[in-house]
Order: sequence, then C-alpha cells, then structure tokens
Amino acid sequence: MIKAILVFNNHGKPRLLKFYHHYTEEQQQQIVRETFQLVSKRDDNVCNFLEGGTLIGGNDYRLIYRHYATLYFIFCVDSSESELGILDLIQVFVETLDRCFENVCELDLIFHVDKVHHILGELVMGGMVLETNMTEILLRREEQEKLEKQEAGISAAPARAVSAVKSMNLPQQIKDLKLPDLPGLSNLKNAF
Amino acid sequence: MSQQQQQRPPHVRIFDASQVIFYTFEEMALKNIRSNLDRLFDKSLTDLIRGIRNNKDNEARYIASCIEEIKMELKQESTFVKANAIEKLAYLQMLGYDISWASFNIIEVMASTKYTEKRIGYLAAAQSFHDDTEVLMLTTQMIRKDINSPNMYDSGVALGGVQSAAVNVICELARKNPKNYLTLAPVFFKLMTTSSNNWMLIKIIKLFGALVPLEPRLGKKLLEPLTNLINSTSAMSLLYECINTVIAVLISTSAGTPGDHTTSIQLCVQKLGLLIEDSDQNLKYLGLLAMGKILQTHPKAVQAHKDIVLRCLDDRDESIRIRSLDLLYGMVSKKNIMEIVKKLMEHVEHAEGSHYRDELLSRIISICSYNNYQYITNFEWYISVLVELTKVEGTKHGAKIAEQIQDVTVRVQSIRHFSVSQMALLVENANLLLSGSAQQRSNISEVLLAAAWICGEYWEHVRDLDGVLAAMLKAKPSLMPGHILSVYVQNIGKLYAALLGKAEAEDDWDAVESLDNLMMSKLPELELAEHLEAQERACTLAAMLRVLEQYHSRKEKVGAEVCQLYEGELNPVAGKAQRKVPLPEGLDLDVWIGEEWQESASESSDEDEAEKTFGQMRVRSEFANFGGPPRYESDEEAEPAHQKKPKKKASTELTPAELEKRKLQREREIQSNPYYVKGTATQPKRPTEFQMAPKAEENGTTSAHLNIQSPLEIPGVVGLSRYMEQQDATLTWKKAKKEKKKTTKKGKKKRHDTTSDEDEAAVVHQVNRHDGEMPENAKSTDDEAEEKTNGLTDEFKALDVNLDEPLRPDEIVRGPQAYIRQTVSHRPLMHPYAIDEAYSMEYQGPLQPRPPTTGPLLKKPAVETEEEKEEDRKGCGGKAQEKEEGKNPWSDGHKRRTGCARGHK
Repeated sequence: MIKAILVFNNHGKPRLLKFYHHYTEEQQQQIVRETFQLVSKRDDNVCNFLEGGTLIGGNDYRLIYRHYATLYFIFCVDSSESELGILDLIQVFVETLDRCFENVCELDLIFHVDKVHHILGELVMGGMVLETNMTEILLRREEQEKLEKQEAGISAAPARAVSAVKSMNLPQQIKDLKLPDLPGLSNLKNAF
Repeated sequence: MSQQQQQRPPHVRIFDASQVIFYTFEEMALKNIRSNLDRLFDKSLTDLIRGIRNNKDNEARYIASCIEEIKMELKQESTFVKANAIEKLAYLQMLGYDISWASFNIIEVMASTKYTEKRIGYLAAAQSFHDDTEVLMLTTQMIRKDINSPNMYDSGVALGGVQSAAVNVICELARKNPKNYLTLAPVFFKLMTTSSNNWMLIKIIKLFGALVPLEPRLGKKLLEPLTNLINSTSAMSLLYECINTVIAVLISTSAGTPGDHTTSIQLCVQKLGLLIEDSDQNLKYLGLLAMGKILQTHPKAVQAHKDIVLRCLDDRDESIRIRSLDLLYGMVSKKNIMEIVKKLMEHVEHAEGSHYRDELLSRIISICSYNNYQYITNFEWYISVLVELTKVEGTKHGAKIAEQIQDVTVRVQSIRHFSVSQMALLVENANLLLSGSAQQRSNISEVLLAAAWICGEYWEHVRDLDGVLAAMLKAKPSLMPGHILSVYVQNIGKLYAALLGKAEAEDDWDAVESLDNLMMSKLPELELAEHLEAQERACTLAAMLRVLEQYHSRKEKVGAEVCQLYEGELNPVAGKAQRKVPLPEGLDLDVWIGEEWQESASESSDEDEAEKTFGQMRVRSEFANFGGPPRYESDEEAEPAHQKKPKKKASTELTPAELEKRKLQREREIQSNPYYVKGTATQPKRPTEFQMAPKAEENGTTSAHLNIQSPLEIPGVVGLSRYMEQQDATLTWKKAKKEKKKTTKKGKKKRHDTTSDEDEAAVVHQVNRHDGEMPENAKSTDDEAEEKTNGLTDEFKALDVNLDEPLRPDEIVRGPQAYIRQTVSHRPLMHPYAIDEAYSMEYQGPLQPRPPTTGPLLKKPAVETEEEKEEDRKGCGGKAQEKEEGKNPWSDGHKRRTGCARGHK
C-alpha cells in the first residue's frame, strides 16, 4: 500500500502532497522538510530507494523516488509494493502529466495542482494502485474534460475571458522555462 | 493552461476585456449577471498562487489576508464561489495551513450538482478529512448518495476506477492476515498463470510470497511457474518479484522438509548476480537486498558471488555499500577475514560522511567478534586492527573498540603480551592522542580506559613499568573524562604495587623513595578531580601512600602486602554465573541466624539513625540560627525527640517485613551485578569464556598476516617513530613467542588441526565455550544440550545465543494457542503440527455434544478436513491420482498455464 505521495521541487517547495494516512498539517510539512533533506543530498546516479526519516516509521516502509529536472516525485510505500513497480508507476504518472500538459513543467504543477490531483486520482486511490495503463488514464481524463466543458458551457465564458486578461500579466517566459526532455522517457522498457 | 493561451488574442488590453464582457452580456440570462460579476473580482486559484509567488517576502501575511477573503466567499450563496474558495483552501492545505474549520463548507461543495464543483469538494475532503473530523457522518452519507447516483461521473468521483482494484484490495487484506486468504490461493494461482497484466502479476506473486510460509505445499506448486516466469519475462520488476517469492519458497521449505532445490537456488543467485552487476543502481540495490535473504538459508550459494559483493563496497552509492556490508557477514571465513577487513579498513580511510564510516567500524567489529571471535585466527592482527581503528576520526565507537580490546586481552592469554605492549604505547602517548578535537578526544579516551586497565592488570607484561606509571600520573583531570580518570587511578595503584614489590625485593631503597616521591608529587593533582569516583580513589591511594611512606622511612618492607591488594586473575564471568551458584544446603535466609533480635538491638540501630539525623539537624539549626530567633534550636531538638518514640515503635513492629524487604533488595542487587567479585567498571561484557584454541593457529599465519598488517601501520595519530618502535617490539616478541608456543601449545594445536574445517570449527567452539563458562561451585547445567541446538539454528541471527534461551519455550507454547482459537475452521490448510492436534482435540470437546447434522458450522470443517486428507495424501505421496484431479484445486491451473502464452511489453 502507498502511504504518501509527495512532489516537491529542488528547493523543497511542495507541489503536490497526497497522504493516505492522516497527518496533521504540521506533521505533513515536517515530513516534506525531512524527506527533502534526505532526497536532495543524493546524486542522480545513485539508487532510488531510501530508508529512514519520520515518514518511514518502521522497517516495512521505504521511500521510492525519481528526480525529473526540477521536481522530485516521492512515493512512500510498504513492503507489499514492488520497488521497481513503483518506479514504473512514477514514470507512468509523469508521462501522463506530460501528455496532459504538453511538455509538462513545474509551472504546470504549480498552477494546475487540482488537475494533477485528478490525474493522480486515476492512478492511485486510497493508497491502492488502480490503473497503470496510460491510454486508459488519458481516456478518463478526456471524458472528464468533456464533462467540464459541458457544465461550464456558456456561463463560464466571461470567467474565461477574465482569466485570459489576468494571464496577460504572466511573463511571457513562463512557458520558456519548460523542462528539458524528460529523462528516461526513451529508454522506458518496464512500463506497463 | 494551454487552452487558455490558445484562446487568448495576442495583444489584448484591459479595455478589450470589458468589450468581451459586454459582448457576453447579451447572451446571458440576467440573473447570472450578479454572480458572474462577483466572480470577476474574486481571486481564482491561479490568482492566489500568483499572488503568493509575488509576495515571497511577506507570504504569511498575504495568505492570512487571502484566508479572510475565502471566509467571506464561503458565506455567499453561490456554490460556484464556494467551490472556488474551497479550491483555494485545498491549495493552502498543501502549504501547511489547517483548513479543518471549513469542513462543513467542503461538504456543501461536495453536495453541488455540478461535476466540476463536486470534484473540488471531494478533493478537499480527501486532503483534509480524517477520523476525528466532525462532519464525517455527513461525508459518508454524501458518498453513499453519490455512489447511488445515476450520473456515472458522480459515482466515479466517489469510487474511482474499478480495474484491478479487487486484486489490490485482497492483496492488502491478505497481507494483514494471510491465513484467512489461503483458500483464495487457487484463484490467484489461476490468475497468475493466465494474466498478462504485469502490475497484477506482481501483486499476486508478492501475495504468494506472504502465503508460502503458511502453506508449504503452495511453495512446491509455485516453483515451476515462477521459474518459467523468471526465464521468460523481460520486465525487470516482475523478474525481481518472482525471485523474491522463490526465495520465500526456499526459506519456508528449507525449514520443513529437506528437498533438493539447488537448481532453483542456482537460478535465483545467478539472476541476482546479473542484477547486481547491472549498471542500473536500483537493480544493484535490489539484487543485494534479495541476496541477503538467500544468505540466511543458503550461505554457500551466495559465497560464490563474493567478488561481486566486494566490488559493490566501492560503489558511489551509500545505500548500496551498506547493503553489501550486510552481505559480508555471510561471506566471512577464517581464510578471508583478513582480506575482507583490510578492504573495509581502506574504506574507512576514504569514507565520506560519518554515518557510513561509523557503520563500517561497527561492521568490522561485529564481523571480527562474531560468535566469540569464531573467524579470527590471529589475535595480534585483530589487536592491530583495533588500535588502527582508534585513529579514525570522529567515530562514536570508542567505547566499543575499548571493550573489544579488553575482551580479547582477557580471553586470549597468549595475546596479552602483545596487547600490553600496544596499550603501553597508547598510554605513553596519551597526550598526543588527546590533542585532537573534542569529539575525537572523547573516543580516544575511551580506548585509553582499556589501555590503562590492561597495563595495570597485566603489568607483568609491561616492559617499561616506570615509563607507563609516569605517563599515567601525567593524566590531566581537565582533559580526561572522570570515569576514565578513576580507572587510571586504580591502575596507577596496581603499577605502583608492582614497582614497589620489585624495588623492595632488590633492597633498592633509593628506588622506593623516588617511587614514593613520584606518587606523592603527582597524586594531589588527581585528588582535585571533579569526578567523585576518581577523586575518592585518588584520595584513598594518597592516604595509603602516606602510611606506606612511614613504613619506608623505617625501612620496613610492605611491598608484598600492597601487592596482595591487587592479586588474583580476573576471568570473564558468565552472565548466568550467579544463577548457577548452588544454594548451600540448609540455608534459609528467612530464619534467624542467631537469637532473634530483641528490643535492644533494634533500639541501638534506631538510635544510630536518630543520631545521624539529630547531628544533621543540629548542624542545620546552628546555621539557621545564625542571626535567627533563638527558640528555633529548642524546637528543632524537641521535634526529633518526639519523632523518635513513634519511630522506634514502628521499626520494631516492622522488623520482619523490613528485613524481608532488605533481603529482597540485596538479592536483587547481587543478581543484577554478576561481577560483584571485583566491582571495577572495566569488566568485560561478554559472559562466556573464550577458549584458547584458535590462537594455536597463529603460527601458520604469522608470515601471511605480516603483509596485511603493514598497511595498518600507517602513521597516524600515534606518530611515525612510535609506530616503528611498536613494530620492533612486535617483531622481537613474536620470535620469542613462536618458540614458546611450539613447546607449550602443541597438544591444543593438534586437537584443533583435526577440526580445522571452517564449519566444524564453529561447532567445536560452541562446545568449548560451554565447558569454559561454568562458574566455580556451579552445578553442571541441565540445559546445556538445549543451548547447543539453539546455537546451531540461530547461527546467523544472534551473537549471544544464551541470552535468548528463556524466551523460547514461551514462544512455542503461546503461538499456536492464539492461532488455533481464531482459525479453527481454517485448520485444514495448516501444518499438521502435533501440538495443533492436541489443541484441536480440546476444541472438539465442547462441540461434540451438539447434534452433528444441525449445525452448518460443524459440517463445514468436516468437509474441509476430508479435502485436506486428500491433499495430504497427494502431497505426501508425490504422485497425483488422476481420478481426483478434478477436486484438486491446482490441477485446473496447471492445464491452463501450459496453454497460455504470456505477452510482456
């Protein structure tokens, strides 16, 4: 079972937190800080498994993480999960995000954390992995978007216009901060 | 985001926006205008995030203002506004803000009719709700309603997908209590042989890994398909999990029936070897992890990969290095321990990060001391290793190293000379050693404790007694921790006694006088030590010296008497020594030894007590009266007089109970202190006495270890010249020692040579150890045989096997008891333990009186036991009967599996 999923950037700023055990907000922040301390010390050429830290209370748990450009994706799982399986799952998650956002970058996660949550919800629910097939996940996502559009319809038009105006203030280079190509995308042999 | 950007005209200005708004007004129903206009001026989530990013300096204040806004928004009617507010709150929750105050609003949003809004509510609820959330009842009702909703997406939000979830959930449940899910094994077996979903396969295979220990027959069935999977799959994750489960099968079967699984083990080890050699660090790590599991049951198979594992010690990844350190335990033998430790020592030198260095140190020590130094044939080498380890910077293992040095020196008589020569050097160079950083000082001083004790205890081996004594007297109370200082003082006494004895024997009164002068000039400094123990010992020693000086001034010899103070060989005491001391016949501590204590006896003791308190009070009152009211003293005096009478009565009444209490306390104290014979703090911890046998082999390896020893002698803290001196001492002594050994230890050596095979040697040690550890006057142990068997089975688990001994019977008895009670109906699928039979008989007792036909609960187990018998017959006979194939839950799976071609991505 998955105990928690954390996404934070190279400075330890949380971009997505999902806990499948209850922790108070204070504990959650402490966990993020501590996990960041553990993970950020590690080179990119070392293995992606970690033991230690408060989040991993007990021998049964360990951290499995991947580092993409500016973001760390960290899964805390117990021994019922396969280590390599979870690594593949992270890859699937990131690839799905990449498809949904078209060249995903940290800013996408910052401004669309709700969407990221919904995509994650298709992969993992209540600490259990639901779906590992990317096309399947994307299909669901499309269906949901259709529904959103239907509901929004005409009534959301002004809102969209306003948000368009507001986004004018966004510096143009936001999208230029795009991630380089995702590492490991091409040599993906273990995906489901 | 990209959508919005696409829709955005390239160069819109603010007034363009108002145009857009006016344009849309036309198409809108009027009642929407207000809420939408409201909306325009609310912050969206994007605005909030942007705002936070723009207010990095005063983020907290900005967010506080935002939360105020959100509170306002939540008071509005529109669910649209509310959903927006909740969305923002969910984001703030991620930043660490408590949003439990909005839980009711979250429910409101969850109740929205719109999917997009409802989704926001569910997200916020999932992020913030927990067991203690007040609105939990409402939430569950909400979810129930949504699940029943005709709208597919509503229920989608509440439920999530329903894909391989079933397998996931059952796997999770089965992990919690595998016994209950054994009956599902055939279903899963079928799934495993037919499914091509790797994720599900992994889950199922992992589940089997958990079930196998409970059902050995399952393991036999699994081996073949798993082996096929291992050979066929290209997915590393699946391969790895298959290997893991095969290992679980091997572990569970090796405990029970001895079968020949060499091919499976070979396959696993071979595949794991490939994983470990892979360039992917993750595979390497996992390979080592799994290898460690095989090590527990099949150490020989792993030993073939020693080189690969040793290479992993050079890996740049710390976790991989630590994993390979774990494996080293299984790889060490008498032949290669020097090589391995040498390699580890090199790592200690180059290790970055104190954690890894400390880990290395403790591994070196635990490998070497494993099973009472089972693998060590050359203790000189080991002492050099330990001395070398003291030079490692910033370790936390000073005490551990010290304990090892002491332990080895006490246990191995033949090493004492060498050990003492090394320790004397350490003591003489204490000032140099203590010049390092504070942390290093604390470590090295722990070692000095051992050094001082060894020099004092085995002074007959010290070459330069005067030098060592002078060095020890130079100890600075300011630099050295008190507990070490006190050991110093104690051993200064021993050395003094030795020197005095010598001088007096030679009638060298000048030497005696200068010795006394030396002591009297240095001791006063030690008398000022802050540590009470050190201070007390120094004062005692100084007082003794003053008396001795008087004798010496009269030219009277007292050396022999002084030496008597420190006489006697100190042996390691077994932990159970105290328990083993037989109770003298006719000893009853509850009975009065002499005549029963009369009033007078208790009174006198009481009066002593009273006097003590009285005295104290008087002193106190004197001080209190200094300038105080005069009547105070008389009051004080009167009070104790009052107290005295009732106290006396009470004590006489309580005498038997009190005596009982005191006796218990005394017994407890003695029991908890097995070293009460001579209560120094420097007693070795290990309870067993080491046999001298291994040292006999030193002869054969002296030439070999010389090469190895040299890298250890790299000049470090001790200094080059000192080390050269040390090596000289070592060499000359060795020559002398060799001859000595040849003449004296031949008998033992021969005996050991016959059993020089490593595995057998382990057994020999154990037997010897048991013989040796018996304390004087002890009864011959009744549980010796038990210990032996324990030692053999737990070979890889515990170092001190004896300590676990009392727990074992408890475990065996209790385990099945709880086990049976819960799962009577599941009994059929379990081990046919004899003890189970006994318990099940008990349980059948109360069930029998009922009519067997009426209760369905009774009938079911009966059916199951029949099946079990069938399966048992098959399992035991080995050949499955064709007739019963239909009933066999496994047969179906077998057929399908062979017909199934598995596809892997």
